Amino acid sequence: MSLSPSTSKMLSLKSSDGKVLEVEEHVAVLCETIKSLVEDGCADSPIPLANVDGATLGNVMEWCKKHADQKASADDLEDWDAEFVERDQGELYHLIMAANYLNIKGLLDLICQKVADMIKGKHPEKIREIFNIENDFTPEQQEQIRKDNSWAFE
Amino acid sequence: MEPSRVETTLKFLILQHGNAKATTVYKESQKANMSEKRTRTTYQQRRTRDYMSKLPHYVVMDIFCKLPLKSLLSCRFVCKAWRDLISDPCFATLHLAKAPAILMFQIGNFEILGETNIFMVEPEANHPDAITKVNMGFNIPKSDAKIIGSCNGLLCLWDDLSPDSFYISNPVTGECMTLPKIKRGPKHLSASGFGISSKTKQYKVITMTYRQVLSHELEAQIHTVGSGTWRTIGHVPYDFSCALSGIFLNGALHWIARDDNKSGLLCAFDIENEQFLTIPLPPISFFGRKIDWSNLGVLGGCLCVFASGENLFFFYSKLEMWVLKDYGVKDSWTKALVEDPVAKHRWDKIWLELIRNKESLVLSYENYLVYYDPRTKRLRKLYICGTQSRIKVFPHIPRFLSLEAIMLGESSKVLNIKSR
Repeated sequence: MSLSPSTSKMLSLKSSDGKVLEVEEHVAVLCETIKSLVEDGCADSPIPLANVDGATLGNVMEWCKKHADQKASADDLEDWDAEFVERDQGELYHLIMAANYLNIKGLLDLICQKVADMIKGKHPEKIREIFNIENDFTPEQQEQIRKDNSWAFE
Repeated sequence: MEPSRVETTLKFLILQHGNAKATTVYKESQKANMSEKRTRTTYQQRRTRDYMSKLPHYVVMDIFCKLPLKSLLSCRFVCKAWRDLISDPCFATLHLAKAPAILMFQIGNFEILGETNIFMVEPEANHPDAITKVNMGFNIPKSDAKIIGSCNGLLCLWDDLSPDSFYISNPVTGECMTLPKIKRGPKHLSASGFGISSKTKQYKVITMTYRQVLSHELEAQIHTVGSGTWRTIGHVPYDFSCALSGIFLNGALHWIARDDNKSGLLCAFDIENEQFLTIPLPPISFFGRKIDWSNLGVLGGCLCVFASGENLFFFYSKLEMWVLKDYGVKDSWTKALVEDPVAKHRWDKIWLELIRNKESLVLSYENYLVYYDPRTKRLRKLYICGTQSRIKVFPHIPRFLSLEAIMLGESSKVLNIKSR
């Protein structure tokens, strides 16, 4: 089966909230989940994607379209990706879940790296603040941690 | 989902490409945004904004694997869920597969770099051109510990303020176990080593001490971790006076020793059967002058040795590095480089290279560090903060498993583990 842009046909993807997206096949097959459906010849009717909402699907396909473009240089893609991940945490969360469900390793790696960059070099207190994480250590545990690990907080 | 961003991007796509598909996508996403707006309020009311807790555990572990060691260490103190994830043996396995080996440093006079003399270095989190020093916390009664060796993420340490005390620690978890006291502890750091037996998977510590004061007769004492005692395995027939920490490779510890004629030889101690073996050193002649077998290391899974001596005209010292391509086969010694270590280099840039390049090698030579880059086959000197003190470097693989879990995975019984 040829997946080159010139001969690519269109696929219909149906999001969890019932929206249908028309996407070129060579773009959509960046999702391993969709690729295996196409290869098994099960991609004729709108493909139901029960775990991805319409807006997230739009974002995911935007990323796939860019990365399916064979004219894009590595530098270009890197800059584009850097801009692509400039989103709020809600969006990043939905992108991670979608990339995981659709099995797009490149996108999952990109967003995970973005989250890792948000954590890097920060104190636990700051990390909790950024990610709205509740500190569930008791004050006694907290004190013990501070005492035992002063070296880690330099 | 932020509608404005999707719209802007899609509008941009339409403008750029005049693309019918993009128009469809845009229209669809407009509809999507409408329904998004309707559902969003209840959605947010139902769920907190702690998105990290909603991610599958393996995705969070994947994120953790992308963190530098120092950040990962502080992540354990964010919340219980993160602490538990990082202590999970599954994470340890994942991290071990993905994380690079790092270098563990020990500096002789530690006042220069702060209160601790053992630390690791890694690239700075947000500045790719800088390095971070990661201090290690050891739960050791006295802090003047010297590294005996590193094996499977564990460090074996010896305290020269209390010479009968040896410790095994996982510096990542801060746990430490005190080994039973040795009868005649070394007065100063002598030939010692730490390794694991290939068959029984028992960890063993060996140290060589003089039998009596003013005696030149060396004896080896060995401790099998978990056994409760040190054993004497008798007289050592070689001169180990210049050897320190043994290099662990292929189930054996290796040192450069001397025979009765004061010529150098490579001495191996098999951890499993507790026998000494010798491997001839490479055939080198520095114009008949004395050769100083200064160092032993591992490069790309092979033993390598540094030989130095003065050149023909005594102008400068000559340094050669030889690699034993086939373990135990004396004819497989191959000369890897000949260089006169005169050039000075900025250590910080080189640092980064050597941390990222698993095949590189760092050795201490006289009072400085020598870094060998196998890509360029060049040797460079390294300086740390201008210090001239003796520095020792150990490749170390950080492991996020508890000391007990590492030990139990290998041997049977572990005693006296203290957490940090």
